[in-house]
Amino acid sequence: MAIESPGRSMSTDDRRVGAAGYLDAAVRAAEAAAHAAGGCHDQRYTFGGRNLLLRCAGPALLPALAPALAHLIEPEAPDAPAPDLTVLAWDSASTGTPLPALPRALAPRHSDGGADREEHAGTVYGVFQPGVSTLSLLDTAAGRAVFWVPDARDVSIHDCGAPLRTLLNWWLGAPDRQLMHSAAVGTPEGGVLLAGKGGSGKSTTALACLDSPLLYAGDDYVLVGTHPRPYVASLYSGAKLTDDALARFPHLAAVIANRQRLAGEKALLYLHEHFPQRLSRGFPLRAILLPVVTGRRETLLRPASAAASLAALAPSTIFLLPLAGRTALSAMAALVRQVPSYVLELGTEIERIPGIILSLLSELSEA
Amino acid sequence: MRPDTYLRINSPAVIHETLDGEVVIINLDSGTYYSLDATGAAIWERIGPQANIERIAAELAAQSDAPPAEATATVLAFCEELAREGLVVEAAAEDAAELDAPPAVGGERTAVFPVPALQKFTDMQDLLLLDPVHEVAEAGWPHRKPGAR
Repeated sequence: MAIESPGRSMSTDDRRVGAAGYLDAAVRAAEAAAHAAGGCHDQRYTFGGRNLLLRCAGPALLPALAPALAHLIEPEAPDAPAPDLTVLAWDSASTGTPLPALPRALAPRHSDGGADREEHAGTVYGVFQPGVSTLSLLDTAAGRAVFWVPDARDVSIHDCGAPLRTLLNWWLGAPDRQLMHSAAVGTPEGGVLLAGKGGSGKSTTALACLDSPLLYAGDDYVLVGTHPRPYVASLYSGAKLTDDALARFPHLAAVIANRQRLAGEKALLYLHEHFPQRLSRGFPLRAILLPVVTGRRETLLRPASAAASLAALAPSTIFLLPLAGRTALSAMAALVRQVPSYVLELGTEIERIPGIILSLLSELSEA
Repeated sequence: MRPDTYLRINSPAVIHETLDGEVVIINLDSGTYYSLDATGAAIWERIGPQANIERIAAELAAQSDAPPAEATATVLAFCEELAREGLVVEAAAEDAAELDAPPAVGGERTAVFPVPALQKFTDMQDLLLLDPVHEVAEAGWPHRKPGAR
């Protein structure tokens, strides 16, 4: 079915509706969508000790949202506590249920500079991202959220690889805890964060560790906390790879999930489906590495300043996550003050990378 | 901009952190981010109602044998660059506090006044262009905070 751009249909009344009121309308629409689709598909997850119930209207969205979260599934238990957050997810195409008209297409983010969780008076957050056509709404006080896309078949690779990340950032974020645009690998005793913008080598480094004692906690977004000590918590087991990166890991070509969509897209791998033993739910954070592709054979580490580390970590995190601003920067600054940073000059012999990281972790644990 | 101009950081659009004498600055409006070296950081840290450009220069010039006029010219040029980037704005006169005598500044003296460096990075601007985000908040639709353009 054709989905009208939500921003186009609006009335004067719509513009007066607050986010909380709109959330109510969106929840009713999600419930109607579930009814139309023949019921809900429920799955429970644990994120850093907090429980999330993902309630999809019908089966259509499951292939897009569920695989990257599969390593965080909470087993069914009769005495399971009530979820801390319930996310109602639906698409209009498979359920025939339209999104209630958005009150107004809002000013782009960069004209609302400084937007920040703490500066919101209430507990309701919302964002419509026209680029990827997703709507995310969260009421932190009520513990409910809505995630909507026009058509489950068109969910972007970013939302398949890192589903619900906008909601998770608002829900899990705190002054001492922040979703960060980073990869992370480590052992139960400790690991490293790999920070840098797209193309810096985060995914390559993380995937190079699959055949090593270093476990994979993420290659795009991870949850990082600083209290009581720095730690990383895994969010996603979806890994994205460019053609160049895929050429370095030919054995992974057989497990690409989006083979039919590859033209113009990165390859997406759901590691939980193929390497479940190589995934970690998290570990203490010992260092931040800033990967740089050098073209040289050898992989080397050299100390980096805290400011260089923050400059690698913060801009992409802040510009990729709606409403990330001052608080996010402050959380990341607190992190780089607590753990040492190093430039990881990536060599062409990528099989040697895990050994370099393991040696560093060993040195840091002895220090 | 003049030597007696007072400035303030252009918040909330500009966010910043100082780490070990270096500053990381992000302009949320433009998608540009910056780093400042130690001299730039020393100027940045002094921007506010407690010091105009001349006073900032005087404080920093006390660390060198450079003539005060040279220091003022260097700091003024740097502040103009910060303003062009939208990182600082001129502050109203009522923002200025009563000034005491400049504090004594310790540290190593240098023969010349060091030139501050502002390093600019524009590689995030593409993210803003590719994926404009429309935000909503409980205050209403649309929601704009006071001071947002």
